[in-house]
Parts: sequence; C-alpha cells; structure tokens
Amino acid sequence: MATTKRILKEVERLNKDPVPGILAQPIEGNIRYFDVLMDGPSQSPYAGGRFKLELFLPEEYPMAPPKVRFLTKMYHPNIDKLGRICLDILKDKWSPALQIRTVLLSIQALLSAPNPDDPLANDVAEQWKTNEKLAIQTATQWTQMYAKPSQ
Amino acid sequence: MYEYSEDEFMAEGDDFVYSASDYSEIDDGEESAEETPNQRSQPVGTQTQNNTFSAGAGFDDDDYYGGEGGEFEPVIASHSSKKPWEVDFKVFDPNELRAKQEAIIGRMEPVLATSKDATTLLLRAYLWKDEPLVEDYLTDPEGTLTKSGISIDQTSPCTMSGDPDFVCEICFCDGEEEEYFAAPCGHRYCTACYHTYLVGKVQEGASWRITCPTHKCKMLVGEEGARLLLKDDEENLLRYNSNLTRSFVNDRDSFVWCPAPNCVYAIECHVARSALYTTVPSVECKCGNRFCFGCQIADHMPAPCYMAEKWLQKCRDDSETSSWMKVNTKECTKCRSIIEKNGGCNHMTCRECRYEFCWVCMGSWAEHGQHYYNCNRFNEESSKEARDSISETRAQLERYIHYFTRYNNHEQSAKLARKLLATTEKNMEQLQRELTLSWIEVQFLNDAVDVLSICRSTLKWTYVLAFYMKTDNQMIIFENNQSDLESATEQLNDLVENPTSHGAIEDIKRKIIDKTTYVKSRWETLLTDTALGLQENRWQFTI
Amino acid sequence: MQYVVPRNFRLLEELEKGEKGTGDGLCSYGLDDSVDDPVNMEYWLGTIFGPGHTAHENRIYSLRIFCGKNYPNQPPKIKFVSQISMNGVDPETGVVSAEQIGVLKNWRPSTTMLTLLKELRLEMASPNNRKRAQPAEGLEFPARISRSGERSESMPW
Repeated sequence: MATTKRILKEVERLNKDPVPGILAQPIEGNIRYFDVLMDGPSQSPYAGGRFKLELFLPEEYPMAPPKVRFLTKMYHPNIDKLGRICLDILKDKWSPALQIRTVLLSIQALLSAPNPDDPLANDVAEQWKTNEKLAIQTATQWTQMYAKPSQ
Repeated sequence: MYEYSEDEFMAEGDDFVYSASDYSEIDDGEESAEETPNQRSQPVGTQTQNNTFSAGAGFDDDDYYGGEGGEFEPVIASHSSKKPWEVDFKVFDPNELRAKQEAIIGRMEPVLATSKDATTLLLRAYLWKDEPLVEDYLTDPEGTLTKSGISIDQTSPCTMSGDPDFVCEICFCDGEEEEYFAAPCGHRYCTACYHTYLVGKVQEGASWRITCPTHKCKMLVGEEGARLLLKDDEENLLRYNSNLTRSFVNDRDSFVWCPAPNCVYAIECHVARSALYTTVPSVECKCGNRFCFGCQIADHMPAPCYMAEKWLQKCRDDSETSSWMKVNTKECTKCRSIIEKNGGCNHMTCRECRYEFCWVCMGSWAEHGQHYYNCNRFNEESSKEARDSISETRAQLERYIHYFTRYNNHEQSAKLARKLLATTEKNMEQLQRELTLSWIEVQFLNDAVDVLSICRSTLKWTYVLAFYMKTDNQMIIFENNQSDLESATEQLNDLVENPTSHGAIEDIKRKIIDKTTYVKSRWETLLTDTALGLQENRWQFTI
Repeated sequence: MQYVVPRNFRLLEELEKGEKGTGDGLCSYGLDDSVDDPVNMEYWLGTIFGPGHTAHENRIYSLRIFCGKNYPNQPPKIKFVSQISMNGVDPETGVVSAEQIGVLKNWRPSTTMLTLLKELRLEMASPNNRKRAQPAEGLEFPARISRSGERSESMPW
C-alpha cells in the first residue's frame, strides 16, 4: 500500500536524519501512532522544557493532515487545555507534500511565535494581548512546573 | 473542507457546501444595483414581470435570452411599467450559464490581450469583477498573474516521465519509469498522487481554486491541468465541470441558484445587500418556484428579509409558546388533557376525567389529605413571583398568538388553494362539456386560483409586518389595506370554491372575473403601498 | 496492518462531534473539564431528554461517564447524576450496570458515547421502565461513591 510505504519512508528518514530537539518514535503495534518529545525553543518561555506530544496519521494521510496534540500542560494562546493545537497546516493549509517532520518543526516554531490573534485558548490569548510580560512569565513557570526533562 | 467526511459529502450529492475559505463576501462591482435606469444601455434580455399573475402557470417564455450582449452591457433593463415592488431578474439554465461565462471570457480576452486560459483564470480569481481586474492587470500584469496563482510565462501544465532523479514527495515512489505531473510552477508529483489529490478536492466541491499541492505554492492547477489529470476519469471530470459552473454562480452576489429541490436554474438579479432592508426582491424561477432573491426562502413580500428571518426563527423556536405552556399548563397525569390554571388553589380537578390532583407536585390530591398546604414544593412567596412573571409573558404571548393565528391561517388556506386548483381543473372540464365552452373561455378559474394563491402568500406576510410594527396612524392605514385585501380574497375564495351556488354559469363567470380583477387591484395597492412605505421609512418597527 | 485509531484520538473525535452537536439533540455529551487534568479525557458529562409519553417526559437527566485507559476496547463506566428509577440502574448510586444493560454488555469498539446515551434513552422508554413511578424531579444520587473519596479506574466516582 502506497500510504504504508510513505509512512515507513518517513520513519526511516526521521531515524537516519533526526530533527535536532525533536524525537518522534512509533508506538509499538500501530505504525500510524507516534510518541513525540519536543524541546522548547531557546529564546522562548518554553526554553529548557521537554514537551510530550502524540501524533496520529489518519486513514486518509497524506491527503489529510496528521492529528497532533500536546500531552504536557501548556500555557500558550494557540494550545488548549486538551493540548489541541491551532495551526493552519494542521487544517485547511495542509498539503500532502508536508511530512511529520515539517509538521513538528512548524509546531516548534509556533512555540517561538505565539499568535494570540488566532486563539484556541481564549483566556490565555487575552492575557497575552493585555499583559504579555505576565503571560510570558506564566508560560515560563508552567515550563518549569510541567516540562522539566527529568519528569 | 476536510471536516466533511466522505459519507456526508456523498449524501450532499452535487450540492456541496462551500467552506469559508472558498467563499468571499465581496460586493459585485459590476452592474451595481444603484445604477439608475437611465444609465443603462440597450436592454438585451428583458424578462418582463408586468403580468405577474400569468407568470407561473402560463409563463410567457419569450426569447428573452436573445443575443448575449456581453457582461458589460447590462443584461437587465428597467421598463416603464415596472411596479414599485417588482425587481428585474433573469433566469439561466446551465447551458446559458456556460454561454454567459464564454461570452464574458471572449469579451475580456482582447481587453487583457492574453491567452484564453489566463483570461478565464483571471476572471475567476477576480470573481468576475471586470473593473478591478482590468485596472490591476493593465497596471501590473505580472503581479496580477502571480497574485492570482497564474503562470506569467504561459507555461502549460504537463505530464512526463524518464527522469531518474524524480522522487514523488507524496508517496516516495521514484525513478525514470514514474510518470509525473507538474502545474506551471514546476513542482512535480507522480500522476497517481496528483490525481488522488485533485479528485479529493473536486469531491469537496472545488474547481478552479485547486492549487499545486506544494506547501505555500499558490499556482493554480487550472482547467487545462485538471482536464489532463482527469482525462481517463470521466466521472470526476464531469463533477469538476459542474463545480466550475457552480462556482460561477456562487462567486457572484448577483446570482443565486433556485433553491427548489433538483432545480437546475440560476437567477441573476441586481439588488444591493443594503437595499434588502427596504426592498423585497421576489423572483420567479422557470420551474415555477417563487422565492426571495435576497435570502432564498419562499416569497415573503411585503416583509423584508431580516423580518421574515426573525419571524421564522421565532416560529421555529416557538419559544414563547412553549415557555408559556410550561408555566401555565400541565397535562393531567391521568388522561393527558391539557390543563391551564387560571388562579385559585392548588386543588385541581381535571375537566375531562375528574381526576383530582395537586397543581404543585402533580400528585393525587387524595394523598395530600389534611396536609395540602405542606406539599413539599409549595411556597407562597415564590409562586406569587411566578404568577407575576406569567402575566407579563402571557400578554406578549397573546399578541404573538394573535398574529401567528392569522399568519398560519393564510398559510393553511394557501395549501388548500393548491388543492383547489385540482378541483378547479375538474370544474373547468365540466363547464367545457356542459356549456361547450372553449378551453380558453374557462381559464378564468385558473387565473382566479393563481390570484388567490399569491394573495394568501402576501396576506400571510402582512401579519408578520404588523407583528413588528409600532401602532400609529400609519399602521392604521396599512391595516385598512390589509383588511380590504383580506375580505376581497375571502370573497373570491368563496366564489371559486362553490361556483354553482352563485347562479347561472355566465353570471358566475362574470362575477369571478370581476372579483379576480378587483382582488388583483387590491393586491397591487397593498404591495405598492408597502413597497413605498418601506422605502420612505413610513413605519416604525420593533426590531 | 489493521487501521486502528488510538484511544486519545478516538476520544478527540467523539469530543469534536459532541461539540458540533449531533443529530436530534435528545442526547448530548461533553468533556467534564472541571477535573484537574482534562488531558486524559476520562471524565465526561452526558444529558438525556426523557422520552415523550413516558414517566420521563419533560425531564432532563444528567449522567457521568468515565472512559478508562482501555476505551474503546472496553466500555466506559456510566452513572446517572439525576435520580431515576430504572432496570439496570443501581437505586442507591445511579450506576448503570454493565451486566444488565445490553449496550454495555455487548460493547464493541465502534460503539460511541452517543450510541450509549441513545440506547439508554431507548431503555427508559422500554415496557419495563416507561411507566415506572419516578422520584421527584431535581433530586440527585450521591456524588461520591467510593468510601475513601479517592477516584480510581475501577471506582471512578
């Protein structure tokens, strides 16, 4: 099956040429289901944290986007309390030419550049707009509390 | 778009749903509704609506579609006999729609001095708004093409193979034997993946907006590309073409599809969004469906769209009725008849079955014995408050019910009028036989039923207008018109329903014809008055 | 390889359907986000409008649903919050019996929380239950069932 070939190839490339700061491993028993660890980008309130995500490739993949969410508690205007992520390429801007790798890089980039004008978590976005300094402080605290690599 | 599952989509059939990103709500630049009749040039195709009554049954199907004069000569002209409530419109079948697109493209091709494919895509990308397109294109052709996702050097999409370095970034197949496809941007994917990608979009309803699958690449695959990819897939090619026609209508504010089930016609009408507060653009499709161009629900003259929408929502919610029913009535737990409590104590006796019970807990009264004031949920203070709020609700509700009853009555009568048509036809046959009248001589009955039917519809909506109208002298004048039309309509209804009880046939015929003419004139009076009244802000409304 | 949607993504799908509102609106459900850590999506709230022409007419029943680690391979646990008298529902706690209610007994991974609620609604209108005398409206079963007050997979409430 073409899709399986694509998935296997992607996994192979992820292993051979891993993305710095991102670790994506298939979960045993389901080649479409991945455990992801992502380092918070430096120069961001998430720096120093290691975040857990899960990623699933639906039946229509790659014609439909992967489904991804954070498992680690996040304070971010585009991530809700279930870890769901508001990112255009995971929705209508998805292109079948994108890959797991590009998706994860885009998510990492979203951590560096929150977009409170297109919020998923309204209360966080509000805070981000009215008092960015405090918002960043809270995000840093949450990173310390929930995303320490030792945990 | 991805949120529609295959199943849902299949259920929708061709009636796909546009996603927000596909639809942009921009006013049609051309042929704006503000244009005065004088500014309009030669009428090309005019659908006269003088004789509104004959439309429908004996629709006068002139060759109104004549020669396609092109988009930029207004296709619709005003005519002197136009009534204040009438709007100009034109009905298109799918072939006429295609012809119209072709005509616009043919006209624009020399203006833009570029290929037909580029002209077509540019027009689509500009939602057929010629003025901004010409302005942008003549100022900056390359920028305009690039912005619209069209190749600047007229590169054609192509399929090829034989490149050993080729790798499809979608399925990772590779090698020189793989056939690939590229839009003018040059991004290559294997033909199989490109086809799957395109078909997925086509089945979601997309057509010309389909771009190269590469992330952030805005290059349009184009009709030429789509035809190449779908050359062996007739089913999807047909769907692609029908999506194209669909988007021609959907992309433009001056066009709507007739909302009747399975109807293939589209209607062109030029009425500005802002005019919908004071104008009711009623149109009639060739399929016979009368509807409002502004909101696409059934004709709701003389109530404007916003009012009709609000009213229908109110009826749907039926919120006032149900909330009133909730506080004022209960069902007898024994025989299920509805009981309203007018006052008095909680010891209730059902009128129907004589069951005795407590209003508060609905339990049998016998069980209350001597302790009836201690019913666990009874509280004098709270029930008093409840009663006060009830009278307020009740007053509002009674007003609503007053208007709703009349609205509903005309709706029901209109349905009966349709049945009447069947009986009328029988009556006509009978008359023909008995009096050896010609077919044309008995048409008066049909005309009468048509008039009845349209008057019922108008009367129905006058009650909505009245419901939202503030009481003043102007309203009294409106109500007089309404009541004149209403009584005339009822008289005509009676004549048509029981023709034989009104004397000799020639007599009845005369009576019906006269009454029909009279009702029609009352109808026109009322519509003229409301159309002008709305434009003059003669009435105050509570919404 | 067989196509399997993992628990979390399956629950996210159900959540999205529930948020959009499904069908007739007679049964609805959503995530209970009052819990400390909703990320595991274990605790859910359901609502059933009592079926017409039964003793449940015009009543709105609240329920709690618990989706364990092995959902949807194993059925969720479910209990009524609003008091109800019904076959297969514990009269003390409101817990719906997994042995007595067909939809739980015959649970398949393709069964969803919506199906579960709809089946319960049908059950309420079954000959056994439709005319049963019901407790006064507005009463609730005790919130906490486990004596220790601790929640666990086997005793989520």
